[in-house]
Amino acid sequence: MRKRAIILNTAIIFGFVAVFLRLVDLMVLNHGRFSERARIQQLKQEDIQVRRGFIFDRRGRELGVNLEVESLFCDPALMVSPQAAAYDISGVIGKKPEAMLAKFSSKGRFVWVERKLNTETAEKIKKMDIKGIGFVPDAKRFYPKGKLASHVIGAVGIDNQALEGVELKYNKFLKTPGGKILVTRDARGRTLSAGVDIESKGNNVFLTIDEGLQYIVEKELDNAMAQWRASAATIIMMDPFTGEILAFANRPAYDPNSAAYAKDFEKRNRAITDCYEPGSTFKIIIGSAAIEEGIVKLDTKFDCSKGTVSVGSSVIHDAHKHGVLTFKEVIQKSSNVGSTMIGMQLGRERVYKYAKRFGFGEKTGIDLPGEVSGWIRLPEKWSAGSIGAISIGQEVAVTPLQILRAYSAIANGGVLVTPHVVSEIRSPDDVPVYSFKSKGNKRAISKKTAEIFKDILKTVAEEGGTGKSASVEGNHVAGKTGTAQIIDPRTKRYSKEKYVGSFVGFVPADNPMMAMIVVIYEPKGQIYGGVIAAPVFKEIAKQALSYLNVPREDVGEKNILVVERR
Amino acid sequence: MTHVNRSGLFSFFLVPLSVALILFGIFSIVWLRSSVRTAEYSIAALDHRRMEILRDRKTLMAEKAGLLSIQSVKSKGSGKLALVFPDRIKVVYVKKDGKNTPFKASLEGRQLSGP
Repeated sequence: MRKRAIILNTAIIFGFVAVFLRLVDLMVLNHGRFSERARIQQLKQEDIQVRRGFIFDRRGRELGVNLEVESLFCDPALMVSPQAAAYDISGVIGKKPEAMLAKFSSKGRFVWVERKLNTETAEKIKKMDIKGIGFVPDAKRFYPKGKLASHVIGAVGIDNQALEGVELKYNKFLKTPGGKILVTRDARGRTLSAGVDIESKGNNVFLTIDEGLQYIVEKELDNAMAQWRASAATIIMMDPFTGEILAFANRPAYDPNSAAYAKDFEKRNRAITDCYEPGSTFKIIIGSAAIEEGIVKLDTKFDCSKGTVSVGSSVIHDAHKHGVLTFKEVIQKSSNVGSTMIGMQLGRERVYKYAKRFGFGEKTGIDLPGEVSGWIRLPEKWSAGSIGAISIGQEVAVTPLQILRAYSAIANGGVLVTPHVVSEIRSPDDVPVYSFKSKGNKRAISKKTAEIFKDILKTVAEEGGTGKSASVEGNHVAGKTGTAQIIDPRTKRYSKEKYVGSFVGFVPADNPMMAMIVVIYEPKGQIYGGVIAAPVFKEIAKQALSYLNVPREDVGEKNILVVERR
Repeated sequence: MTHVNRSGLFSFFLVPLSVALILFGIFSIVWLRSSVRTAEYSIAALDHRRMEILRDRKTLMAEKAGLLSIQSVKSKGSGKLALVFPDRIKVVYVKKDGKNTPFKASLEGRQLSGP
């Protein structure tokens, strides 16, 4: 009995010693190795889900958001029956089984099968329980308003990389650095809470664009394109005092939700990347320069009765003979002959000086990618006929935005503003991280000259002016028409069929709420800016003033209540 | 004289008590760890649920943005509801009454009647 007890005690002691030694081995001698192995088994490194910030209009309406989707990948080495899998999955996502099978037969261990599947499709595939395929959470940029303001908002690529517009210009604010986090998982591979947010979101961008005005502009732009069967068109609406772009549209345009399929000419942001000869809208330069320099008075007369004037080897024509015109009438009736005479009185140095003062030949500084500076030659490189050509808006290349900015200077009392499309950027916690600050606006002309020229521009949209069809009932419009020939690239001469018609102005003239330019490229049937572009200005201005609740000027009451009359 | 065996008493009460305390301590630790782990699983499940809800929220937000777009509102409003953008020509401005009482706009014509 005692012997048995000794044996049992000895066995127990040896047992405990063995356990103790093993514990020493596990916890002291090989602690590092085993804890590292355990760490590898239990901890899993996961990517922080990076999401771009949202894009809103000036009233907080969503223009660019994210959708949570899933991307499908496969590990071909783990697939049991690639043919069957290809057939099953292709049926769900609507792709050819052959293309799918090619991916399943790849040599790599990680192959994308289909990016950005919606939740329903992903769930259907998950239910198939196919070995060797998996899903990665992903985000898809979604533009709920489709084509609307596509040239401002821009687009992103398949990996949410910025490609165009605000998405590209403000990419550093919209995107957020990624990173990795460690999550604990159990033997079954289930993850435990990481204790931190696994999503990192970029800053939200607030545009100066107003969705309502943008819609009105794009609707009328489409109507104009259809009516005049034009090759392209651009409309920009801006607050002339702040430089805030209220609406900005080009045609052709594209849907940023399918930017990959958009053609290059659809993606071109003509308002800032394409130059054209402005024609008569450029007469603002010689007109305001002549007033500023004291060369003319409003009633100074110019004999335009011949309908032509010779400058160097060139002959400048009027579309119709006008007779003797006052300075005011030269602008109102857009006389080329009269404008050339004024330009010749000013001289090339002063014409060039004022063109530069109004910002021509320089970028406006708008916060969109791809802006060009336009083009105006140095006076010493002008030919003998250049003074005539430049006075009527030829031999210069401008962007629609440059013209609009120049007219905004007339509207606001002579100051050249900086156009911009982003007003503010806020962090996901709604803390402001950026707000637009002007770098100092330059004065182009004196306030007095601006006021005088504003009155002249008002006559353009009145009876006898070339822009009569831009007039809006109840409010004065100030503006200028422009009709310019396009140089035919084949003949290198002005085309007799291709024109650019434009109208640029602001309304209400005495207290402008908006400045706007309408440019229509290669219209068919009519060519004059006063016929093709001015009515578009009128339609947009009418609706925009209503949208902005701008009262009619023919109502004197300040304390008003609005009712509708049948 | 009665002799109390203190050593026996110690063995009789304290040793089992100590063992029980040690076992209780061990089980408490195990239970605590298990509870923490269970809580972690619960939090992970809630995290997962939260992510799903956030995903749905984003989808709904995008849908709402599309439905509330002016284009969509106009196309729907001008159909069944016969809504139109206000025509400036049809809008008249009348002086507001100092008493802050509402005006009545007649549907018949241009007769505006005060309160």
